[in-house]
Amino acid sequence: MANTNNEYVELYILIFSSVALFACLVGFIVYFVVLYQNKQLKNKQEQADLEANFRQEMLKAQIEVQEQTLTHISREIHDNITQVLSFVKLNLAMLGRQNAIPEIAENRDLVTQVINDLRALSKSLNFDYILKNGLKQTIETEVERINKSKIITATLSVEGERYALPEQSELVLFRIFQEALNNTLKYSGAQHFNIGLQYHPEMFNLSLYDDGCGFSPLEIGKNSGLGLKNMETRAALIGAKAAIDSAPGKGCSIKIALKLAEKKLHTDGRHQDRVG
Amino acid sequence: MNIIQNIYLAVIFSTALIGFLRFKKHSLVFRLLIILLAITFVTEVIGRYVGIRRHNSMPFDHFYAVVEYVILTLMYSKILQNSVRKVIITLMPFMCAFALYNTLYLQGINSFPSNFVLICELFYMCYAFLGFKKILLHPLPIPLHQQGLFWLNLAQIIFSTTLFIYFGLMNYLNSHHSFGSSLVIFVQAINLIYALLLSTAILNDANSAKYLELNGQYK
Repeated sequence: MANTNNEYVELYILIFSSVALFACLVGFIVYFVVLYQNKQLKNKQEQADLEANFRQEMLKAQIEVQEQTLTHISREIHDNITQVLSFVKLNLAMLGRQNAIPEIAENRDLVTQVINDLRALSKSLNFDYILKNGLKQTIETEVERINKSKIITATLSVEGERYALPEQSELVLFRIFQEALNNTLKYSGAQHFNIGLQYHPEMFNLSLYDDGCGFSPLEIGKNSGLGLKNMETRAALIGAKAAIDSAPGKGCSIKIALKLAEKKLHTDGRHQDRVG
Repeated sequence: MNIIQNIYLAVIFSTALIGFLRFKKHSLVFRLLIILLAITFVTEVIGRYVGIRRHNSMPFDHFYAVVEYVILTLMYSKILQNSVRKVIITLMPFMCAFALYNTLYLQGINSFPSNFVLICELFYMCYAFLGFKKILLHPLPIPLHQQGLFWLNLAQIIFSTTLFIYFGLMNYLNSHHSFGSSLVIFVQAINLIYALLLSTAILNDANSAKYLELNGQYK
């Protein structure tokens, strides 16, 4: 009987000690697992942020290189090609005075047209020109040039009292406009291209619409959709939101909305995240 | 031998066998663990045989305790940071010297080396806590239950703490002449749980080894 009682005592002590010990161990393990999962989530978030920052930096570098290249091409066109064509025009003028051949005058007019077109192209490529004249005037110049070509009819509408946007925002918005225009001319077969600039106190909107064949966003493949993706990422770079809406047979509408309070973070010329 | 002991030996043997078959896939730490499991199996089998023939297998326990300490210390020296690594490596010869002193002068070769084993279990608990800290400081992009190091640390902490409690209980119950078979079954169950957790650690090591070696953590 005494031995049986001793066995029971032993058993109770054992059970109590084991339960207490395992309760502490389980508590520690559960606490550790929860702590680890939180840490893992935090790390994943940090990694995602780093990747996003890296992508943004890569994009900024890419855009900067593009702008430098375009400026270089613009200067080459202006300094070399138009100069050479001006000499050709001058020589044709001298030949025209000596030999009154109608074809010489016709070619002189063609060369004059080429010089003017190249000067306009050079201006549209050069970001100094864009920054100096502002977004509205630069787009007006482009609209005139497009309408002269008679490929498409472009119209510009401006709402609200015009104010100056940060230089870098205007440059990026103009490049988006150029990208959209190029896409319209290349792919849409549109007759009309409407550009809208809406100057609201808290927000600036750029809207671009063509009445072309439209496209289905789902059918745009990985390679052919890069221009559209480029527009979205450029817009994001200046803190704007790009909405691209299209359907087959319904044309294409692009709206860029730039909230004026947010733009400062991205386009302040002194800010480390500035564009260009 | 009862069924728990048989299962324990089967688990150690099969894990060591699977470990050796996939030896090259494992990190250095778990290769050492596989070797330890193999030594454990051999020591257990020979120890039981000698125990039956000569009624005393304690000399094997003296040998095994030192081997286990050396291998686990080498494993954790690869896992833990430089500063801790230097400390535990520096302590190794002193501990081995103490084991020898304990065998020769304190407890004798024919009694269980509880002095040395208890101190080692304290060390293993510290290693395990530091191992958990390492997991927290350097989280991997895989779930916790797929990381071999997590199971290794869990095995160590469970075994070390329960063994500590077991020795405490054994001493208490012995002094009250209340030592019973339930305590023997308890320690056998703990051994089995330890073996199962180590097996889980080795089987999961392949998942985490590539991340840890890519990051330069424990080669």
